[in-house]
Amino acid sequence: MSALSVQDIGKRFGATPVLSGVSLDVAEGEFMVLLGPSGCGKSTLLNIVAGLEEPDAGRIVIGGRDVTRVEPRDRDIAMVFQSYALYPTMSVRRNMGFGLRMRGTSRGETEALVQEAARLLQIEPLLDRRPSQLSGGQRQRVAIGRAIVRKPAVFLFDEPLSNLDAKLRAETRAELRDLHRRLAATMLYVTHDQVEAMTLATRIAVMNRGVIEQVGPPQEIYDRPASLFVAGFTGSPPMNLISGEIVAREGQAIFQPDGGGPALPLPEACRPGKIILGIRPEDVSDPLSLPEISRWIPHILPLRMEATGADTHVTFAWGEARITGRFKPAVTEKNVVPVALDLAKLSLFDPATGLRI
Amino acid sequence: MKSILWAALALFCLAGTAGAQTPPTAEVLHWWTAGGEAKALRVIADRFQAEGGRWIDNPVAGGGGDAARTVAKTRLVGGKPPTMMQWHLGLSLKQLAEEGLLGDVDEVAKEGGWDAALPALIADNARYKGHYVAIPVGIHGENWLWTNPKVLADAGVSVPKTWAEFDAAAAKLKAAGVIPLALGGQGWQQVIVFNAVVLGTQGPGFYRKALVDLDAKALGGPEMVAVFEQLARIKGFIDPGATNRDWNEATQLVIKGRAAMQLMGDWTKGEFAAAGLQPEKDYGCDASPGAGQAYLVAADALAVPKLSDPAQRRGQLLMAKIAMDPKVQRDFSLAKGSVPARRDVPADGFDACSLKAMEKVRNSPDILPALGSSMGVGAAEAGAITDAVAQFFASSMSPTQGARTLRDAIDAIR
Amino acid sequence: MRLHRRDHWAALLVLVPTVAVAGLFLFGFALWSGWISLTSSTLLPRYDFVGWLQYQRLFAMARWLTAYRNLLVFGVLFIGFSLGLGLLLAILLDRKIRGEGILRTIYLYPMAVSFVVTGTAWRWILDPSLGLQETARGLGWASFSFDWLSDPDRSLYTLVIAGVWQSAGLAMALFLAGLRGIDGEIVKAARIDGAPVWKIYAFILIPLLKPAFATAGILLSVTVIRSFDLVVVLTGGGPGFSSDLPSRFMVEMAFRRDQLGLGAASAMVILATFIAVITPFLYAGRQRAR
Ligand SMILES: Nc1ncnc2c1ncn2[C@@H]1O[C@H](COP(=O)(O)OP(=O)(O)OP(=O)(O)O)[C@@H](O)[C@H]1O
Ligand SMILES: [Mg+2]
Repeated sequence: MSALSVQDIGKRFGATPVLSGVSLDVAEGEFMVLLGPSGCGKSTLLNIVAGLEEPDAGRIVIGGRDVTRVEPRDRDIAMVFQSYALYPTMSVRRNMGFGLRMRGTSRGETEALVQEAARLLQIEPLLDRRPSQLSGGQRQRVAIGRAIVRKPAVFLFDEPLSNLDAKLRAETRAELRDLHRRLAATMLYVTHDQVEAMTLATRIAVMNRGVIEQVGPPQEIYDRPASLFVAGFTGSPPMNLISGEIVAREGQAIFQPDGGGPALPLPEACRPGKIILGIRPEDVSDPLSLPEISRWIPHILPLRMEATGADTHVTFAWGEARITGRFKPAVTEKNVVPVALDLAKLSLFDPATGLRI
Repeated sequence: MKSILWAALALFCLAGTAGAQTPPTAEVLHWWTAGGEAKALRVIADRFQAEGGRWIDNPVAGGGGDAARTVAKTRLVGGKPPTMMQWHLGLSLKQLAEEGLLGDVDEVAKEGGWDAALPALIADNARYKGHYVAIPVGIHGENWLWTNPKVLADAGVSVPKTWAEFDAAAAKLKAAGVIPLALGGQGWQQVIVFNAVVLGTQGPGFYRKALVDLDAKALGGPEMVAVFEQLARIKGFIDPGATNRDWNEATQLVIKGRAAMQLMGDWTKGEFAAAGLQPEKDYGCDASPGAGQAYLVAADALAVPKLSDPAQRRGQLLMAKIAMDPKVQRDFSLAKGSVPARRDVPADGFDACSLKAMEKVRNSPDILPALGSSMGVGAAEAGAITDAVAQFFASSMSPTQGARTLRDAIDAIR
Repeated sequence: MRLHRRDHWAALLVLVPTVAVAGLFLFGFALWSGWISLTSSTLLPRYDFVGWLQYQRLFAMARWLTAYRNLLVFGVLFIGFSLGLGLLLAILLDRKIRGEGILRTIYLYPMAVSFVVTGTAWRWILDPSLGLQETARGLGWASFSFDWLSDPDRSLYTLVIAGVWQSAGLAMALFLAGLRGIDGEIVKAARIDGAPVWKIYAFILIPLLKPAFATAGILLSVTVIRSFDLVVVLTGGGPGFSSDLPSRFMVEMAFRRDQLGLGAASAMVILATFIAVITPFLYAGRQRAR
């Protein structure tokens, strides 16, 4: 039985559909990340799970109980918001204890639970401050503390790290993962940051325009994107997408990119026709760093180089298409050619549906 | 504010041009800004200019003269007085004179025979230590009973001549379903009724003792209790909507026939005239019950500040001559609805009500200061009496308590 | 913000005339009134010294005592009801009830008119022989009675009614702006924390409106002191002087009854009261700003 089950949820604001037919199962103790670009409906879905918005269609089941028409307070959930949403007029202590007090927990017990959560998050010295007297990172911890103190069945996070600077974000990310392990809690976490998604998730659900395009473990999302959207949205730089045509030549399927350029022999048989070929930048590299059996060395020329420190990105012209490869930082203009593609890592998409073939 | 600036500007001009050739100049500070009043002042201004004077009009509207008087006081004390300023005859005028802020126009007064032409009360109050410090231009009377003849006739009553008759008539009117007495529940209106009752039930002698001399025995005596007994009866003849009603709204009740009578000063005539009604035909104007020939008055006047500029000084003298000219006095009063301060002005042109008033001003031995006129008691004392009367009207206190409240109020102020 | 030294001086130079004029008018006149209140001035200012005599006379006057008590009663009720009603309306609008447009118009419209207009309108409405009472009786409800305007024990409350009608909209606008400025996620967090709507308002949102309360409180306090026109037009201080307020008393004494000293003494008492009332509000505002 899954801890949280989102079933066929539909939601529109006025005439614009924001969510359509969204279904998602989150297993007990799972860290599910909902990944998607801004405005795709992530927060809306999270609000519906929390009971802050009513869905137009579908059901929400938490712990086997249909809670679609249940008030937020009775759903056994806690939520951490992007803006932290701490109560400005209350001390950290009262902020964290507020939910317990509202549920009739005694003063003494509340105090004990707040202390325990504060110890876990190492915010004990802050308990008597006001939110305005805290740094952004400290506020974030308090917001998390307010959520964990109630020990809910499901935690909901709505982009909780996006207001932190890069360093703090990385640290907090690690702590969140740690926390997840220690609490063994079920979490549904919304973000538009793929790095966050990749590092935190046990599974990722990629969302686009109110639809979930793919659900799976991070590596699978990365290696085998189910659609052009997922392919383009994950990875940095994202997957190279090259449109072209498959033709059969001498019993072999050949990929011919639009606008000419070297034709690529496909390792498997394929139906001829228009196609989009995808390949991750790390699979476009120095021939020596790729497996010999699956590599293919086309004659294409570099256009520009971009050093990021850890590695250098080189862009090549392949017909009309531009493809980016990832090289060791030592690479120079002179030794960037020849370049190889790892044919074992190809993804093929149907340009009509955008889906993986 | 604007008028103060304007006046200051005018002063600069005056200072710069003062000299032998400068025409007589008068900067006149006043609050005669509404219809008839403004027209009345024009009479004086036109004549002044016709005789070669330079007229600088300085009207200060607001607060029923409060604003103008405050400006005037400030300028007097600050040593920059206007040439002439509107003021009421009476104690506050004398107070200004006492402070040495006023000059006089004795030369013109002697020449014009003012002493003989003016009623004694008016002349006394225009003089300070024998000097004329103000020019009286018109007299207003306060104790009038205004009636709607049709309403009276319908109820089968005639204009009451005494307060006993008033009570009887009012009872009949009330039974007939009209408001017997239209009254605005504002202190100054209630005190007009009070004055009329003091005068009409206890006579002019008592009125003088109680409300001019503030004689403690008169204020605390049984006569005053009787006055409050009459007031208590009157309270039964007014309607509950009187609270804070303006005097002209009360007049409208009489005009429309919803009420039969109103006790109010002669300015009420303007309200009837504006409704297109004729005196003694469409509405009645009679002495308040029991008053007979006794007349409670207030006087409009122009005070004469002390100043040194020769052109303005000549302006003051010319103004004195003009404002006391019988023809100007007549036209002024015709426009304003008052009667002339002079007793030798031809009576032609005045309406029936004004003729009644002129008759009294000329021949009655009992020309008495209205309470609010400042010719009898000061503003502080008049205010204290007003408060006491208003309190009596507003509460259910007994006539004895009313009389005691009145006496206490006077005691507190002294 | 830090200014450069030279800008600082330029700014000061620009401000000097304004500050000087404001200082002269506010403190100069206050000081002058204070001085006059210690003299025997009547029609004209007189610079003798009589100590606290005018204050003794003032507090021996029934009319002043009534006016002063009325100020306190009126002030408390007016400010209280304006804040209360304003808050209630703001919350209703914030809850997006139906008819928001109508409500807003009804309550914001009075702000656009002066106390004179408000007072006149309410005098007609409350006039026992013209308005509400007569209308209700005309409709057949013969026993209906609403004659507070002519009841010396109640006329003060008509001022409260008219004043609240006039000013609740202002309070509502301030509170509504305050509520709309609060991060919506805070409300969501509170709902998830299990707080019922009234507790969300009571414990979280209303405490956040402290600055709006301070602003509204100061503005309403000023209105109380300035309510001169309302009294003059609506009740004229009557019946008798049962609904008189100190501002009217002061004008009456200083400018009509030739008792400058007494008027100045009443002005000083008004000023002291005003300062006493407004300080907590200012303090609340300051505290919030830190
Ligand atoms: N109350 C609302 N009324 C109308 N439209 C809304 C409302 N709330 C959200 N929307 C619209 O619904 C869509 C999805 O909004 P949502 O907040 O769920 O996006 P999101 O994926 O959380 O984006 P972000 O990453 O920027 O937070 C957006 O186009 C938004 O404009
Ligand atoms: Mg969002």
